[in-house]
Amino acid sequence: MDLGIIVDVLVFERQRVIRQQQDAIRELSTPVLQIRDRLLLLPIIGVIDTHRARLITESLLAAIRASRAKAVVMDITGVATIDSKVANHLLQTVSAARLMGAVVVVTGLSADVAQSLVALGIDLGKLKTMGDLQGGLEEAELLINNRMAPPPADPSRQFAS
Amino acid sequence: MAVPILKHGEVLIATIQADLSDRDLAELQDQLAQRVGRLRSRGVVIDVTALDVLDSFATRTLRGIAYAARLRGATTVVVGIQPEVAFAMVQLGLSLDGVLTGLDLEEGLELIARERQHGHVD
Repeated sequence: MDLGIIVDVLVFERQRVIRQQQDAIRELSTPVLQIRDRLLLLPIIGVIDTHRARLITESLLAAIRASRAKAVVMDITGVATIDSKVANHLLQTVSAARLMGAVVVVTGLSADVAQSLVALGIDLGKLKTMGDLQGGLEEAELLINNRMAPPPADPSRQFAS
Repeated sequence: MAVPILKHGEVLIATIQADLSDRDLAELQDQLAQRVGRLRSRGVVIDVTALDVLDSFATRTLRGIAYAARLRGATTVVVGIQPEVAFAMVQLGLSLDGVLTGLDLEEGLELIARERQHGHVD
């Protein structure tokens, strides 16, 4: 009988841990991070299915409103494969963010992913894309500065005169 | 229910306060197109904060307003689209391509001011 109780406790404990971890994974799946004033980072790792795409879009839109973001860098380095479905999800998220007045820069498309997108004939022409996160952040900073402060004088004209 | 159109300097502000019938939307489009010319406005801000649904007709009308205003020399910004509304719109495949969007009235006025100073902003 003692053994039975011990087994029960062990099983219960294991299930509790699994539940905790599942919750943790769900929470971790869509973090939206603020890099600086009005700039958000959305790192996406793993498989994007319809349910997750919805969660991502919802949390991004909520974050855009909360932090009054002007630009969002969406990093998909951790997304191994992109097919037409995933591309469509990404496009929807980007369009929704635009409706809220934020520009989205997508970064981290690896050479393989880019090749396969071209091969599949998926048009991501509407997306603003950059090779890596660094480039994306620089681009986003530029966008924010362009939108918030007067742009610098045209350099070509400066040198011409 | 008619939508009040306020004049703020060179900008017209239309705040939609309740769900509008298709007729009201068409009326708004007419009114704005007329007033942009009459008041020599350079910008139109349409505030949809209070709306919790934007259907295909409303979206089309907003696009129509933006194009008409552009032809008359004014920039249109749609502001205050709620997260749920934005999500529903992309799910339904409705787009506001070619119309500027902003988070709220303040952003909208800022966008128009920038557009006035520096030409096109994206």
